[in-house]
Amino acid sequence: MQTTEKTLHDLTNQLAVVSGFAEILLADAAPDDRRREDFEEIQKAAANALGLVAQLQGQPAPPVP
Amino acid sequence: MGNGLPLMPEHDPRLLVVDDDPGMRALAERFAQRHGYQVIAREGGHELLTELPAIRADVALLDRNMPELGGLDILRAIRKADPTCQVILMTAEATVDSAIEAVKLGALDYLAKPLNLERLGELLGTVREGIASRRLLLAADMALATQCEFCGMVGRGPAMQELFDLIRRLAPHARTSLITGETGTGKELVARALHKSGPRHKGRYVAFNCAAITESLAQTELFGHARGAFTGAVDAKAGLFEHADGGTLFLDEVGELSLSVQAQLLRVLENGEVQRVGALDGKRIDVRVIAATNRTLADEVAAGRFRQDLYYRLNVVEIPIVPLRDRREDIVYLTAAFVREFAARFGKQVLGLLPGAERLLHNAPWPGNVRELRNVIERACMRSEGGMLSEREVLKALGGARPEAVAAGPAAVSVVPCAEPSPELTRPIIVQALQQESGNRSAAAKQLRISRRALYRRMQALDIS
Repeated sequence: MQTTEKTLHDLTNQLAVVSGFAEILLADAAPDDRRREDFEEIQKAAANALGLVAQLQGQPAPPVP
Repeated sequence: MGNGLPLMPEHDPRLLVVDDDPGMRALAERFAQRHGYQVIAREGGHELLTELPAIRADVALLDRNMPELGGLDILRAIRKADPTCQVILMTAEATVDSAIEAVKLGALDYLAKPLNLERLGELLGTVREGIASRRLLLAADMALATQCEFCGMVGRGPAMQELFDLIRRLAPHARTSLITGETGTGKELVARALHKSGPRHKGRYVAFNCAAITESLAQTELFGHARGAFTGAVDAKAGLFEHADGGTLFLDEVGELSLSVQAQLLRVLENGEVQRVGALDGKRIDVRVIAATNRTLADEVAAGRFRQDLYYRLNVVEIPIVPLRDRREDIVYLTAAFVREFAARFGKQVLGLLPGAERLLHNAPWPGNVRELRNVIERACMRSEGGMLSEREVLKALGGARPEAVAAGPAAVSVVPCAEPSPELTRPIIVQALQQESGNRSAAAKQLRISRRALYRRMQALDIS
Protein backbone atom coordinates (compact mmCIF):
# COMPACT_ATOMS: atom_id res chain seq x y z
CA MET A 1 0.00 0.00 0.00
CA GLN A 2 2.84 2.31 0.97
CA THR A 3 4.47 1.87 -2.44
CA THR A 4 1.21 2.50 -4.26
CA GLU A 5 0.76 5.77 -2.38
CA LYS A 6 4.30 6.78 -3.18
CA THR A 7 3.80 5.94 -6.83
CA LEU A 8 0.61 8.00 -6.92
CA HIS A 9 2.49 10.94 -5.41
CA ASP A 10 5.18 10.65 -8.02
CA LEU A 11 2.58 10.36 -10.74
CA THR A 12 0.93 13.54 -9.49
CA ASN A 13 4.24 15.36 -9.69
CA GLN A 14 4.94 14.15 -13.21
CA LEU A 15 1.46 15.21 -14.34
CA ALA A 16 2.05 18.61 -12.73
CA VAL A 17 5.21 18.94 -14.81
CA VAL A 18 3.28 18.09 -18.00
CA SER A 19 0.53 20.53 -17.11
CA GLY A 20 3.03 23.24 -16.08
CA PHE A 21 4.99 23.06 -19.31
CA ALA A 22 1.75 23.15 -21.30
CA GLU A 23 0.86 26.30 -19.37
CA ILE A 24 4.22 27.88 -20.19
CA LEU A 25 3.86 26.95 -23.88
CA LEU A 26 0.41 28.51 -23.92
CA ALA A 27 1.65 31.67 -22.26
CA ASP A 28 4.48 31.97 -24.80
CA ALA A 29 2.30 31.31 -27.84
CA ALA A 30 1.00 34.26 -29.87
CA PRO A 31 -2.82 34.72 -29.81
CA ASP A 32 -3.10 33.47 -33.42
CA ASP A 33 -0.70 30.54 -32.95
CA ARG A 34 -2.36 27.42 -34.43
CA ARG A 35 -0.76 25.23 -31.75
CA ARG A 36 -2.69 26.92 -28.93
CA GLU A 37 -5.49 24.33 -29.15
CA ASP A 38 -2.95 21.50 -28.98
CA PHE A 39 -1.37 22.95 -25.84
CA GLU A 40 -4.81 23.34 -24.33
CA GLU A 41 -5.53 19.66 -25.10
CA ILE A 42 -2.32 18.64 -23.27
CA GLN A 43 -3.29 20.79 -20.31
CA LYS A 44 -6.81 19.39 -20.24
CA ALA A 45 -5.59 15.79 -20.41
CA ALA A 46 -3.08 16.42 -17.61
CA ALA A 47 -5.81 17.98 -15.47
CA ASN A 48 -8.11 15.00 -16.09
CA ALA A 49 -5.30 12.60 -15.21
CA LEU A 50 -4.61 14.53 -11.99
CA GLY A 51 -8.32 14.14 -11.17
CA LEU A 52 -8.09 10.39 -11.75
CA VAL A 53 -5.06 10.06 -9.48
CA ALA A 54 -6.89 12.01 -6.80
CA GLN A 55 -9.80 9.59 -7.12
CA LEU A 56 -7.41 6.67 -6.63
CA GLN A 57 -6.04 8.42 -3.54
CA GLY A 58 -9.58 8.91 -2.28
CA GLN A 59 -9.16 12.70 -2.31
CA PRO A 60 -11.05 15.48 -4.01
CA ALA A 61 -9.45 16.45 -7.32
CA PRO A 62 -6.70 19.08 -6.91
CA PRO A 63 -7.41 22.49 -8.37
CA VAL A 64 -6.28 22.74 -11.97
CA PRO A 65 -3.24 25.02 -12.03
CA MET B 1 30.72 63.67 -4.02
CA GLY B 2 30.14 63.50 -7.72
CA ASN B 3 27.21 64.71 -9.72
CA GLY B 4 24.26 62.61 -10.75
CA LEU B 5 23.67 58.97 -10.11
CA PRO B 6 26.03 56.37 -11.46
CA LEU B 7 24.36 54.11 -13.98
CA MET B 8 23.79 50.79 -12.38
CA PRO B 9 22.93 47.91 -14.64
CA GLU B 10 20.17 45.81 -13.19
CA HIS B 11 21.13 42.28 -12.37
CA ASP B 12 18.56 39.57 -12.79
CA PRO B 13 17.58 38.17 -9.42
CA ARG B 14 18.85 34.66 -8.81
CA LEU B 15 16.75 31.62 -7.94
CA LEU B 16 18.10 28.36 -6.58
CA VAL B 17 15.84 25.37 -7.34
CA VAL B 18 16.45 22.18 -5.36
CA ASP B 19 14.33 19.16 -6.28
CA ASP B 20 15.32 15.55 -6.83
CA ASP B 21 12.83 15.25 -9.68
CA PRO B 22 14.36 16.41 -12.98
CA GLY B 23 10.94 17.26 -14.46
CA MET B 24 10.09 19.57 -11.57
CA ARG B 25 13.51 21.19 -11.75
CA ALA B 26 13.09 21.82 -15.46
CA LEU B 27 9.60 23.24 -14.97
CA ALA B 28 10.64 25.56 -12.15
CA GLU B 29 13.69 26.67 -14.09
CA ARG B 30 11.75 27.43 -17.26
CA PHE B 31 8.99 29.17 -15.31
CA ALA B 32 11.35 31.37 -13.27
CA GLN B 33 13.37 32.33 -16.34
CA ARG B 34 10.18 33.65 -17.87
CA HIS B 35 9.80 35.79 -14.75
CA GLY B 36 13.21 37.34 -15.32
CA TYR B 37 15.19 35.12 -12.99
CA GLN B 38 18.60 33.67 -13.42
CA VAL B 39 18.19 30.04 -12.27
CA ILE B 40 20.55 27.58 -10.65
CA ALA B 41 19.01 24.09 -10.44
CA ARG B 42 20.40 21.35 -8.17
CA GLU B 43 19.15 17.91 -7.27
CA GLY B 44 20.13 18.28 -3.62
CA GLY B 45 22.38 16.13 -1.50
CA HIS B 46 25.21 16.98 0.84
CA GLU B 47 27.52 18.50 -1.77
CA LEU B 48 24.98 21.30 -2.18
CA LEU B 49 25.76 22.46 1.36
CA THR B 50 29.39 23.24 0.53
CA GLU B 51 28.29 25.04 -2.60
CA LEU B 52 25.64 27.19 -0.86
CA PRO B 53 27.70 30.22 0.17
CA ALA B 54 28.98 30.68 -3.38
CA ILE B 55 25.54 30.53 -5.01
CA ARG B 56 24.35 33.81 -3.48
CA ALA B 57 20.74 33.29 -4.50
CA ASP B 58 18.08 35.90 -3.78
CA VAL B 59 15.46 33.21 -3.34
CA ALA B 60 15.49 29.41 -3.08
CA LEU B 61 12.71 26.98 -4.03
CA LEU B 62 13.18 23.76 -2.07
CA ASP B 63 11.41 20.43 -2.20
CA ARG B 64 10.68 19.36 1.34
CA ASN B 65 10.91 15.62 0.79
CA MET B 66 14.13 14.51 -0.81
CA PRO B 67 16.00 11.26 -0.16
CA GLU B 68 19.41 12.43 1.03
CA LEU B 69 18.77 15.82 2.57
CA GLY B 70 15.32 17.32 3.20
CA GLY B 71 14.24 20.82 2.30
CA LEU B 72 14.10 21.86 5.97
CA ASP B 73 17.76 20.87 6.42
CA ILE B 74 18.70 22.91 3.38
CA LEU B 75 16.59 25.79 4.70
CA ARG B 76 18.58 25.70 7.95
CA ALA B 77 21.85 25.63 6.01
CA ILE B 78 20.76 28.60 3.90
CA ARG B 79 19.84 30.54 7.03
CA LYS B 80 23.43 30.09 8.18
CA ALA B 81 25.25 30.50 4.89
CA ASP B 82 23.27 33.36 3.40
CA PRO B 83 20.67 34.78 5.78
CA THR B 84 19.40 37.25 3.19
CA CYS B 85 18.22 34.52 0.82
CA GLN B 86 14.43 34.03 0.87
CA VAL B 87 13.17 30.46 0.91
CA ILE B 88 10.03 28.87 -0.53
CA LEU B 89 9.32 25.26 0.40
CA MET B 90 7.21 22.85 -1.66
CA THR B 91 5.73 19.63 -0.44
CA ALA B 92 3.37 16.90 -1.54
CA GLU B 93 2.09 16.34 1.99
CA ALA B 94 1.39 19.75 3.40
CA THR B 95 0.59 19.38 7.08
CA VAL B 96 -0.04 22.22 9.50
CA ASP B 97 2.88 21.15 11.69
CA SER B 98 5.40 21.11 8.88
CA ALA B 99 4.17 24.47 7.64
CA ILE B 100 4.58 25.97 11.11
CA GLU B 101 8.09 24.58 11.33
CA ALA B 102 9.00 26.04 7.95
CA VAL B 103 7.67 29.46 8.86
CA LYS B 104 9.48 29.33 12.20
CA LEU B 105 12.67 28.74 10.27
CA GLY B 106 11.93 31.84 8.27
CA ALA B 107 10.48 30.44 5.05
CA LEU B 108 8.71 32.98 2.87
CA ASP B 109 5.97 30.52 1.91
CA TYR B 110 5.00 26.91 1.86
CA LEU B 111 3.53 25.59 -1.39
CA ALA B 112 1.62 22.35 -1.87
CA LYS B 113 2.39 20.07 -4.78
CA PRO B 114 1.25 19.90 -7.52
CA LEU B 115 2.71 23.33 -7.74
CA ASN B 116 0.39 26.26 -8.26
CA LEU B 117 2.39 28.18 -10.85
CA GLU B 118 0.31 31.30 -10.44
CA ARG B 119 1.17 31.48 -6.74
CA LEU B 120 4.84 30.80 -7.47
CA GLY B 121 4.78 33.60 -10.03
CA GLU B 122 3.36 35.98 -7.41
CA LEU B 123 6.05 35.04 -4.93
CA LEU B 124 8.85 35.51 -7.46
CA GLY B 125 7.34 38.88 -8.32
CA THR B 126 7.27 39.89 -4.64
CA VAL B 127 10.92 38.99 -4.18
CA ARG B 128 11.94 40.83 -7.32
CA GLU B 129 9.99 43.93 -6.32
CA GLY B 130 11.65 43.82 -2.91
CA ILE B 131 15.08 43.86 -4.52
CA ALA B 132 14.09 46.61 -6.94
CA SER B 133 12.63 48.77 -4.19
CA ARG B 134 15.82 48.49 -2.11
CA ARG B 135 17.69 49.59 -5.19
CA LEU B 136 15.39 52.55 -5.70
CA LEU B 137 15.66 53.40 -2.04
CA LEU B 138 19.43 53.69 -2.34
CA ALA B 139 19.11 55.84 -5.45
CA ALA B 140 16.65 58.07 -3.58
CA ASP B 141 18.94 58.22 -0.54
CA MET B 142 21.84 59.17 -2.81
CA ALA B 143 19.81 61.93 -4.40
CA LEU B 144 18.78 63.19 -0.96
CA ALA B 145 22.38 62.98 0.23
CA THR B 146 23.34 65.27 -2.64
CA GLN B 147 20.50 67.65 -1.79
CA CYS B 148 21.46 67.89 1.86
CA GLU B 149 25.16 68.20 1.18
CA PHE B 150 27.00 71.31 2.24
CA CYS B 151 30.68 71.70 1.38
CA GLY B 152 31.29 67.95 1.45
CA MET B 153 29.23 67.37 4.60
CA VAL B 154 26.04 65.37 4.49
CA GLY B 155 23.35 66.01 7.07
CA ARG B 156 19.62 66.00 6.75
CA GLY B 157 18.73 65.96 10.42
CA PRO B 158 18.20 69.11 12.49
CA ALA B 159 21.64 68.94 14.16
CA MET B 160 23.52 69.29 10.89
CA GLN B 161 21.07 71.75 9.37
CA GLU B 162 21.69 73.99 12.38
CA LEU B 163 25.42 73.56 11.91
CA PHE B 164 25.19 74.52 8.22
CA ASP B 165 23.14 77.59 9.16
CA LEU B 166 25.69 78.56 11.79
CA ILE B 167 28.53 78.23 9.26
CA ARG B 168 26.66 80.33 6.70
CA ARG B 169 26.02 83.05 9.27
CA LEU B 170 29.53 83.07 10.72
CA ALA B 171 31.57 82.65 7.56
CA PRO B 172 31.36 86.31 6.43
CA HIS B 173 32.35 87.77 9.81
CA ALA B 174 34.08 85.68 12.43
CA ARG B 175 37.85 86.14 12.59
CA THR B 176 38.54 83.41 15.10
CA SER B 177 36.42 80.39 15.83
CA LEU B 178 36.73 77.20 17.79
CA ILE B 179 35.33 73.95 16.43
CA THR B 180 34.68 71.27 19.00
CA GLY B 181 33.69 67.67 18.43
CA GLU B 182 34.80 64.11 18.90
CA THR B 183 37.37 62.51 16.68
CA GLY B 184 36.06 61.76 13.19
CA THR B 185 33.11 64.19 13.31
CA GLY B 186 34.51 66.29 10.45
CA LYS B 187 36.05 69.32 12.16
CA GLU B 188 38.33 69.96 9.21
CA LEU B 189 35.37 69.90 6.81
CA VAL B 190 33.68 72.59 8.91
CA ALA B 191 36.87 74.66 8.82
CA ARG B 192 37.05 74.34 5.03
CA ALA B 193 33.37 75.26 4.76
CA LEU B 194 33.98 78.42 6.82
CA HIS B 195 36.86 79.31 4.54
CA LYS B 196 35.00 78.56 1.31
CA SER B 197 31.82 80.39 2.32
CA GLY B 198 33.66 83.44 3.61
CA PRO B 199 35.19 86.52 1.97
CA ARG B 200 38.64 84.93 2.03
CA HIS B 201 37.75 81.98 -0.18
CA LYS B 202 40.22 83.21 -2.80
CA GLY B 203 43.01 83.31 -0.22
CA ARG B 204 44.98 80.29 0.98
CA TYR B 205 43.58 77.67 3.29
CA VAL B 206 46.40 76.23 5.40
CA ALA B 207 45.87 73.34 7.79
CA PHE B 208 48.22 72.47 10.62
CA ASN B 209 47.96 69.57 13.04
CA CYS B 210 49.29 70.73 16.39
CA ALA B 211 49.54 67.19 17.75
CA ALA B 212 51.74 65.81 15.04
CA ILE B 213 54.81 67.86 15.86
CA THR B 214 57.31 68.72 18.62
CA GLU B 215 57.24 72.04 20.46
CA SER B 216 60.24 73.65 18.78
CA LEU B 217 59.13 72.53 15.34
CA ALA B 218 55.62 73.84 16.02
CA GLN B 219 57.13 77.24 16.77
CA THR B 220 59.15 77.52 13.58
CA GLU B 221 56.37 75.98 11.48
CA LEU B 222 53.77 78.43 12.75
CA PHE B 223 55.79 81.60 13.09
CA GLY B 224 58.83 80.98 10.86
CA HIS B 225 62.40 81.82 11.78
CA ALA B 226 65.06 84.40 10.94
CA ARG B 227 68.36 83.49 9.30
CA GLY B 228 70.76 82.16 11.92
CA ALA B 229 68.06 81.93 14.57
CA PHE B 230 69.41 78.53 15.57
CA THR B 231 71.95 76.00 14.37
CA GLY B 232 70.90 74.90 10.92
CA ALA B 233 68.72 77.94 10.22
CA VAL B 234 70.78 78.82 7.13
CA ASP B 235 67.95 80.72 5.49
CA ALA B 236 65.10 82.74 6.82
CA LYS B 237 61.77 80.95 6.59
CA ALA B 238 58.23 82.20 6.66
CA GLY B 239 55.85 80.43 9.01
CA LEU B 240 52.34 79.22 8.27
CA PHE B 241 50.82 82.46 9.58
CA GLU B 242 52.64 84.44 6.91
CA HIS B 243 51.89 81.76 4.36
CA ALA B 244 48.18 82.00 5.12
CA ASP B 245 48.18 85.81 4.99
CA GLY B 246 44.91 86.94 3.44
CA GLY B 247 43.42 83.49 3.96
CA THR B 248 42.63 80.98 6.68
CA LEU B 249 44.83 79.01 9.06
CA PHE B 250 43.27 75.89 10.52
CA LEU B 251 44.87 74.70 13.76
CA ASP B 252 43.70 71.15 14.38
CA GLU B 253 44.01 69.65 17.87
CA VAL B 254 44.91 73.03 19.32
CA GLY B 255 44.67 71.55 22.80
CA GLU B 256 47.94 69.70 22.17
CA LEU B 257 50.03 72.88 21.85
CA SER B 258 52.57 73.48 24.62
CA LEU B 259 51.99 76.40 26.98
CA SER B 260 54.83 78.46 25.51
CA VAL B 261 53.55 78.09 21.95
CA GLN B 262 50.08 78.94 23.28
CA ALA B 263 51.52 82.21 24.61
CA GLN B 264 53.01 83.07 21.22
CA LEU B 265 49.79 82.15 19.47
CA LEU B 266 47.84 84.43 21.78
CA ARG B 267 50.18 87.33 20.96
CA VAL B 268 49.65 86.82 17.23
CA LEU B 269 45.88 86.73 17.67
CA GLU B 270 45.83 89.83 19.83
CA ASN B 271 48.26 91.99 17.87
CA GLY B 272 47.70 90.70 14.35
CA GLU B 273 51.46 90.58 14.12
CA VAL B 274 53.74 87.59 13.78
CA GLN B 275 57.35 87.53 14.85
CA ARG B 276 59.67 84.96 13.31
CA VAL B 277 61.81 83.02 15.78
CA GLY B 278 65.03 84.97 16.26
CA ALA B 279 63.75 88.08 14.47
CA LEU B 280 63.52 91.50 16.09
CA ASP B 281 60.59 92.95 14.21
CA GLY B 282 57.11 91.64 13.78
CA LYS B 283 55.15 91.51 10.55
CA ARG B 284 51.52 92.45 10.20
CA ILE B 285 49.35 89.67 8.92
CA ASP B 286 45.68 89.25 8.16
CA VAL B 287 44.69 85.68 8.88
CA ARG B 288 41.46 84.08 9.97
CA VAL B 289 42.29 81.46 12.60
CA ILE B 290 40.06 78.46 13.05
CA ALA B 291 41.05 76.14 15.87
CA ALA B 292 39.66 72.70 16.54
CA THR B 293 39.86 70.29 19.41
CA ASN B 294 38.35 67.02 20.54
CA ARG B 295 39.16 67.88 24.15
CA THR B 296 36.98 69.92 26.44
CA LEU B 297 39.16 73.00 26.59
CA ALA B 298 37.43 74.34 29.69
CA ASP B 299 38.64 71.22 31.53
CA GLU B 300 42.13 71.70 30.12
CA VAL B 301 42.09 75.26 31.41
CA ALA B 302 40.97 74.07 34.85
CA ALA B 303 43.80 71.52 34.85
CA GLY B 304 46.32 74.22 33.94
CA ARG B 305 47.15 72.68 30.57
CA PHE B 306 45.58 75.38 28.47
CA ARG B 307 45.86 79.16 28.85
CA GLN B 308 42.63 80.70 29.93
CA ASP B 309 43.21 83.92 27.98
CA LEU B 310 43.86 81.96 24.78
CA TYR B 311 40.77 79.87 25.46
CA TYR B 312 38.59 83.00 25.70
CA ARG B 313 40.23 84.43 22.61
CA LEU B 314 39.47 81.29 20.54
CA ASN B 315 36.13 80.66 22.13
CA VAL B 316 34.55 83.90 20.90
CA VAL B 317 32.62 81.73 18.51
CA GLU B 318 32.30 78.06 19.32
CA ILE B 319 31.01 75.64 16.71
CA PRO B 320 30.12 72.31 18.27
CA ILE B 321 29.67 69.22 16.06
CA VAL B 322 27.44 66.48 17.42
CA PRO B 323 28.74 62.91 17.43
CA LEU B 324 27.27 60.53 14.87
CA ARG B 325 25.41 58.50 17.51
CA ASP B 326 23.38 61.64 18.30
CA ARG B 327 22.32 62.13 14.69
CA ARG B 328 21.59 58.59 13.60
CA GLU B 329 18.93 59.85 11.19
CA ASP B 330 21.78 60.93 8.89
CA ILE B 331 23.48 57.53 8.79
CA VAL B 332 21.42 56.29 5.87
CA TYR B 333 22.32 59.35 3.72
CA LEU B 334 25.97 59.28 4.71
CA THR B 335 26.01 55.59 3.87
CA ALA B 336 24.45 56.20 0.47
CA ALA B 337 26.98 58.92 -0.29
CA PHE B 338 29.91 56.71 0.74
CA VAL B 339 28.57 53.69 -1.16
CA ARG B 340 28.40 55.83 -4.27
CA GLU B 341 31.90 57.17 -3.71
CA PHE B 342 33.55 53.80 -3.13
CA ALA B 343 31.53 51.81 -5.66
CA ALA B 344 32.79 54.26 -8.27
CA ARG B 345 36.35 54.20 -6.95
CA PHE B 346 36.59 50.41 -6.91
CA GLY B 347 34.61 50.02 -10.12
CA LYS B 348 32.06 47.78 -8.41
CA GLN B 349 28.34 47.67 -8.88
CA VAL B 350 27.32 47.95 -5.27
CA LEU B 351 23.61 48.60 -5.44
CA GLY B 352 22.75 49.22 -1.84
CA LEU B 353 22.32 47.56 1.52
CA LEU B 354 20.06 44.80 2.67
CA PRO B 355 17.78 45.72 5.59
CA GLY B 356 19.87 43.80 8.14
CA ALA B 357 23.04 45.61 7.08
CA GLU B 358 21.27 48.95 7.27
CA ARG B 359 20.03 48.18 10.77
CA LEU B 360 23.52 47.22 11.85
CA LEU B 361 24.96 50.53 10.66
CA HIS B 362 22.10 52.46 12.20
CA ASN B 363 22.63 50.90 15.62
CA ALA B 364 26.43 50.74 15.84
CA PRO B 365 28.00 52.94 18.55
CA TRP B 366 30.35 54.81 16.14
CA PRO B 367 33.04 55.99 18.54
CA GLY B 368 35.04 57.04 15.48
CA ASN B 369 32.03 58.92 14.08
CA VAL B 370 31.66 59.72 10.36
CA ARG B 371 35.26 58.82 9.59
CA GLU B 372 34.69 55.37 11.02
CA LEU B 373 31.45 54.94 9.04
CA ARG B 374 33.31 55.98 5.89
CA ASN B 375 36.07 53.45 6.60
CA VAL B 376 33.52 50.70 7.21
CA ILE B 377 31.76 51.40 3.91
CA GLU B 378 35.08 51.59 2.11
CA ARG B 379 36.10 48.18 3.46
CA ALA B 380 32.70 46.64 2.73
CA CYS B 381 32.72 47.99 -0.85
CA MET B 382 36.28 46.83 -1.39
CA ARG B 383 35.38 43.27 -0.43
CA SER B 384 31.94 43.21 -2.01
CA GLU B 385 31.35 41.12 -5.09
CA GLY B 386 28.70 43.59 -6.17
CA GLY B 387 24.97 43.65 -5.60
CA MET B 388 23.63 44.38 -2.16
CA LEU B 389 25.88 44.69 0.87
CA SER B 390 24.75 42.02 3.31
CA GLU B 391 24.67 42.07 7.07
CA ARG B 392 27.63 39.72 7.05
CA GLU B 393 29.76 41.91 4.81
CA VAL B 394 29.03 44.97 6.93
CA LEU B 395 29.72 43.02 10.11
CA LYS B 396 33.08 41.98 8.71
CA ALA B 397 33.89 45.57 7.81
CA LEU B 398 32.80 46.72 11.27
CA GLY B 399 35.00 44.09 12.88
CA GLY B 400 37.95 45.36 10.89
CA ALA B 401 37.26 48.88 12.10
CA ARG B 402 37.97 47.94 15.64
CA PRO B 403 41.69 48.62 16.13
CA GLU B 404 41.47 52.00 14.41
CA ALA B 405 38.44 53.00 16.41
CA VAL B 406 40.26 52.15 19.62
CA ALA B 407 43.35 54.04 18.52
CA ALA B 408 41.33 57.00 17.38
CA GLY B 409 41.36 58.87 20.65
CA PRO B 410 39.98 59.20 24.12
CA ALA B 411 36.38 59.13 22.96
CA ALA B 412 36.81 55.68 21.45
CA VAL B 413 35.23 52.70 23.10
CA SER B 414 35.26 49.20 21.67
CA VAL B 415 32.91 48.51 18.83
CA VAL B 416 30.45 45.73 19.46
CA PRO B 417 29.19 44.93 15.98
CA CYS B 418 25.74 43.94 16.99
CA ALA B 419 22.26 45.13 16.27
CA GLU B 420 21.13 45.00 19.87
CA PRO B 421 23.11 46.57 22.66
CA SER B 422 24.85 43.71 24.40
CA PRO B 423 26.27 43.56 27.88
CA GLU B 424 30.01 43.66 28.32
CA LEU B 425 31.02 40.19 27.24
CA THR B 426 33.42 39.10 29.88
CA ARG B 427 34.96 35.65 30.05
CA PRO B 428 32.54 34.23 32.64
CA ILE B 429 29.51 35.43 30.65
CA ILE B 430 30.75 33.76 27.47
CA VAL B 431 31.79 30.56 29.24
CA GLN B 432 28.40 30.38 30.93
CA ALA B 433 26.55 30.88 27.64
CA LEU B 434 28.62 28.13 26.01
CA GLN B 435 27.93 25.76 28.88
CA GLN B 436 24.21 26.48 28.80
CA GLU B 437 24.16 25.70 25.10
CA SER B 438 26.33 22.56 25.59
CA GLY B 439 29.17 24.06 23.60
CA ASN B 440 27.04 24.97 20.58
CA ARG B 441 28.60 28.22 19.42
CA SER B 442 25.79 29.31 17.14
CA ALA B 443 23.29 28.92 19.95
CA ALA B 444 25.58 30.67 22.41
CA ALA B 445 26.08 33.56 19.98
CA LYS B 446 22.33 33.84 19.59
CA GLN B 447 21.88 33.90 23.35
CA LEU B 448 24.51 36.65 23.66
CA ARG B 449 22.88 38.52 20.76
CA ILE B 450 26.09 38.72 18.79
CA SER B 451 27.09 37.12 15.51
CA ARG B 452 28.83 33.76 15.49
CA ARG B 453 31.84 35.48 14.03
CA ALA B 454 31.89 38.06 16.82
CA LEU B 455 31.69 35.24 19.34
CA TYR B 456 34.67 33.47 17.73
CA ARG B 457 36.66 36.68 17.83
CA ARG B 458 35.76 37.23 21.44
CA MET B 459 36.65 33.62 22.33
CA GLN B 460 40.00 33.98 20.62
CA ALA B 461 40.72 37.24 22.38
CA LEU B 462 39.84 35.76 25.76
CA ASP B 463 41.58 32.47 24.97
CA ILE B 464 38.48 30.33 25.44
CA SER B 465 38.62 27.05 23.55
